[in-house]
Amino acid sequence: MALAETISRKVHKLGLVPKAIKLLPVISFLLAVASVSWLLSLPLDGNYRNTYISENALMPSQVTSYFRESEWNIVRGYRGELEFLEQTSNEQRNLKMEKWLNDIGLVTAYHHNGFTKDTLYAIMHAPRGDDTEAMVLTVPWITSEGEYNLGALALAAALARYFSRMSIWSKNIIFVFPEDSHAALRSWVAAYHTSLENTAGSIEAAIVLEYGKNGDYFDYYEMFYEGLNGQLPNLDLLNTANLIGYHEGLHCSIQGTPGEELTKNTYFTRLRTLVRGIVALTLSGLRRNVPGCESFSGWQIQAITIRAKGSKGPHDVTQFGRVVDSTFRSVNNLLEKFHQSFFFYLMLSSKNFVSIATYLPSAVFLAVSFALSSLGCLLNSGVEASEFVNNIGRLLTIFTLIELGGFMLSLLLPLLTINTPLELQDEVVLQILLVLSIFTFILALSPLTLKKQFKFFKLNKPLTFGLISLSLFFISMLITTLLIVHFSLALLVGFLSLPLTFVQPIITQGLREKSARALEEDKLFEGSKKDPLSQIVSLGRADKAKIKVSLLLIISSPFFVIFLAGSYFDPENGVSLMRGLLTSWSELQCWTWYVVILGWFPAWLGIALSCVFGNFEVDYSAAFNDTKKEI
Amino acid sequence: MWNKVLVLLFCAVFAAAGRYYNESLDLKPLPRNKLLASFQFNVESLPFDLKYYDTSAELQGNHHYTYFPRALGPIIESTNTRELHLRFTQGWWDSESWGRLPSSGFQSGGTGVEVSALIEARDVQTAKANWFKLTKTLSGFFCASLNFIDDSITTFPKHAASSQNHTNYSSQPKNKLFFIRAALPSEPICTENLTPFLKLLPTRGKSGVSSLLDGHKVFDSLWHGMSIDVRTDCDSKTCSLKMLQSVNQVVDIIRSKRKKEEGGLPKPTPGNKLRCDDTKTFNAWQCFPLSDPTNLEWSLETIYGRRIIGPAFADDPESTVINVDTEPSTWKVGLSKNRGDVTESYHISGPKKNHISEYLREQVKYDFQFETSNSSVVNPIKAPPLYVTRSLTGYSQDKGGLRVTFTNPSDEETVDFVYFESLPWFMRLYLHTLTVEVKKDGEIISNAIDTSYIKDRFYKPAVDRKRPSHLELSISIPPKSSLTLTYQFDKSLLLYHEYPPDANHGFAIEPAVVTIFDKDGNDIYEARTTSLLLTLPTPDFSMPYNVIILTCTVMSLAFGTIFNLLIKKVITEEEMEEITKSSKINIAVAKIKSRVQQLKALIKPKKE
Repeated sequence: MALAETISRKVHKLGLVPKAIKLLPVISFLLAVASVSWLLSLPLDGNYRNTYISENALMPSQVTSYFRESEWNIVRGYRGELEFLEQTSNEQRNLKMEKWLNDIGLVTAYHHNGFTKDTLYAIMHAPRGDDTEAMVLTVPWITSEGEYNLGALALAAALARYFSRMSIWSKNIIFVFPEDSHAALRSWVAAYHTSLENTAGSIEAAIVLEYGKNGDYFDYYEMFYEGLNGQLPNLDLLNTANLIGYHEGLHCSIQGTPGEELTKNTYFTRLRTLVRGIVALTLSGLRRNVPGCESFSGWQIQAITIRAKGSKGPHDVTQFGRVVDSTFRSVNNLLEKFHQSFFFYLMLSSKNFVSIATYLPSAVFLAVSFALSSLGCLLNSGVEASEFVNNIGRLLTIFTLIELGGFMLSLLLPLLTINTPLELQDEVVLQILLVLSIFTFILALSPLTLKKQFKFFKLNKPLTFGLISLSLFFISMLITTLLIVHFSLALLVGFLSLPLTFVQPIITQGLREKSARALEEDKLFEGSKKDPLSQIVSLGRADKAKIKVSLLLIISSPFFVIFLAGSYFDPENGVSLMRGLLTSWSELQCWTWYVVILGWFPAWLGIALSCVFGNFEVDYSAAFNDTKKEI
Repeated sequence: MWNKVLVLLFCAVFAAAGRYYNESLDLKPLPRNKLLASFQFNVESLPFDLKYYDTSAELQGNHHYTYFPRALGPIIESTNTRELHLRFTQGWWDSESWGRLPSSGFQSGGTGVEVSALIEARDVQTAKANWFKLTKTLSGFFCASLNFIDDSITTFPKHAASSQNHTNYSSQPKNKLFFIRAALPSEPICTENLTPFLKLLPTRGKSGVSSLLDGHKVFDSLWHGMSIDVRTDCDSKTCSLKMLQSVNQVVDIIRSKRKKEEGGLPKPTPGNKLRCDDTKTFNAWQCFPLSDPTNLEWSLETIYGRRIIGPAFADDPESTVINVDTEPSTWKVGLSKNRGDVTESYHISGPKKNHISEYLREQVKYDFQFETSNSSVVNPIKAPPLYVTRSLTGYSQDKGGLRVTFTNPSDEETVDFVYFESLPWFMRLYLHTLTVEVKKDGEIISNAIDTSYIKDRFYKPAVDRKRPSHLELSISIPPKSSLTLTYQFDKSLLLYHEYPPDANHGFAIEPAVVTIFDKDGNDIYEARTTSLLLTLPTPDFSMPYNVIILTCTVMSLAFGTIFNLLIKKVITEEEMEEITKSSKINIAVAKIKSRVQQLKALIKPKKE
């Protein structure tokens, strides 16, 4: 206590508190820099860990998989037949597959989802099993890349035949054949837990298999693991599959690492994987070509997607099958749910990861940065605390109205999109995005273009600063709330709305300089006429701040970012991301849209509105004195 | 839980033979190269004078049981158990493919262990005391966790008890008969349960059909059930204990054959042995597999690895009988007798003989050979009167739902049945959420809780840790329709010590029982749903320690502050600075400072 007393006395004596308050914007910025640096330091040696199998019961690669030799002939046999099915309708394909599975002795059933083609699924009841747990092998007819999933379908049929010959299973195995791995698969998973009649107990793990028309060989395989809403499968499942692949001599690529770089493990490859992982987790479920594993999110099912890449490589299709076989045998060993290892992690390579404890400070710094800049906005406004208190009712009313507007939009826009026919959806989404972007631009540019601020509606000073402060605080709270649940989204929303923290300091600074200059000029040309030249110069200077603010508002606007990101990730169809946002709740129960429209957008709107309608006037003489001191 | 069919079976068997022991093995090939093997053992004790044993009275074991196991008799008598039903079952019965359960399902329990008993007692307390005594004794006897049966899982079935009147035993005046039931769905069934089971037999598994029962083979099946039923049968003067033991199993013939021929490992078939479809592309690299072969040859030895050692009792030529149910057009059944070096084989099947009965009369080793030209042709499989599936719905940690679907496959007949479900207390059932949906040809024809479908309801809510919730619904389903029940429940948090010590994959919920009645109210079929795995919200068990540590920190901080306030003198800052000037450290600092000054003064002139 004595130490704390001494320090607090020193702080008081040296007058650090007011100094710190003056410096709050700088401190806030430094914290944001710290957040980025923390993230950048994660791929450094010593900050990440090597993956390991935490659950001993899994025992990956401890048994020899006999899915080899003549099984290859059988895979080819099925593939030969499946080739004929490529051009046929979904019903015919399903009928054929159903017949094969029935021949093997599996119980088959259909799920009619009502909006797209039916999903066939087959249950292999474990011999002597208690029928309470299951593992799922999902093989969509069409891969996420739009290719006919030939290899994987042949593998699934051959694996079903191979599995049914073994008596070691303690969990049922379900084979699912949805049309695609997007909404069709999601609706099957949902129906399994609500309305399907033929079920096989709680699903413990799921593997989605993608192997297009690569022929008999492949180079390496790609693994996807992002779930919806920030959920990830248990790290043990990933490691199990990876370890098995490693023992098979296969290379695993995550986050789109190209084949030739799979053996590399440098700081930059790790950083790239990390950043891509964060972006992928944020966007999971929003894009149309989803890998499929996220469909299992939300039901405590650990799911991964594996996809064979290349067609030349040294590895053959049965090796891909052996990964599935051995993984299922490992999961089959489990006597408990997946509970060891990690549920929150960021991968740096297929063999390195950082756990939540290590990466969390990054988002914490960001949240604190926003909180401090919110505080700074209040304290540096020059407005008395009592004035804020007097206006708090109006402030909350305004913010609630903004939130209400966001709420209306959050419900209306998805409704509008879903209720339009599929082929017109892109158009509607484009219109929505256009209208919103135009609105954004008008709002962002209006401080620049409007000579005089609105007379009919003007926020008073406490309200202006209060609104900015509240908006910043709102983002800070948003980040804090999402921090653990959806780290990636929290972090990205934080980074993208970071420019908003500079708005108030820049405006204040600009006005201060302007008024100081005006005062000086007044003194210089006291009595005489003002020099028109200097007036123009001063105006230009003031406008510099306005331009800055407009720019800041534009780059931190959610819709601008959505448009940019959409165009970046899908150059052909820039609106696909927006469409994903609007439809992902109804299709996949992914709530990213609500975070954007109820979290990020109101905060942005609050700050934008206070820039347009706000009153930032600075006390003339105080400002002059300040500037004088600085000079 | 008993039915007249079995009673008739009992009567027929005992009345006709007048014997105290007989056994049979029923073999019935099922589609897809499966085989249903059903072992039945009937044992009867000598008639004796049955008494009601009071807790105070000494058990008087003054009579012989003969064939009836001496180990079981006194337990049953001392607990006044008039009927005992024990079921050990594991696996999933594929009723679509295999049809009705053996013995109309009356010998098949749900997954795990199930025990029910009819106990004569003065009142419920006595009955319960006897019940726990009985289950605890049986626990040690059968190496099963029956000792975990307590109030929280024990139920008194209502409808089952009313259809209980098949025993011609009437209790003594002042006494009542209580039907009590409990199930342990998570109990794995293993060899340790089979060994005591065989020990109950007078043959001890050394001769007769029981000589086939080898743990490795019995438990390498797709589905199997063991059951023990003991009944008290009385005439006007004396009573006798009758026991029916059974082992039913479904065996995969292909797998058994492969195990025998290739060993246990599922090694890939050698290329030249691949069975390919030659109507499709077929070469050295490509092979579209044919389904399992249908022309097979196998014998009991293929499946059990043993032969039957003679009849159960050499002096009783009709003690052991083998019944084979095959389609004569495609199946040939042979019998081989092995006398040391000599083996004698001959066909016992004949044209138009769907059913073969063969008594084992000689003291030789018997084996039954089966040869089929098309194993997919079997005697007609009779569909069960009702299909039932049950599953959990929902995904949250704190609540969930149950969904039960009954389907009546019959074209004409309405099915009446009682649905019995006992759920553990930590599933807080909300019966007001019960919904009913009746579908015919895929269209909903009713979703009202209508008395035309749900005729009667009996519900006894759970009491925490004391009693499970007990639901019995009397339901009637019109032909070609299905009825779906859904209801919701909350999951409770358990006490710290009630969670299993290790991480678990969930709590097993016992299978529900469906008893089907005919028009006269006799039970004709019994089926069970599968068990369920319920995930309960599990707290982080390290949390108490975190709480303790945090609380201690906060408390010590508070204590420190208050302690400081109490013992320290409050002074102004200036006063403090005054005082500190004379503190030892400050004096020392001042001294050092003055020394430094002196030194500086010394050095400076030199520099100049």
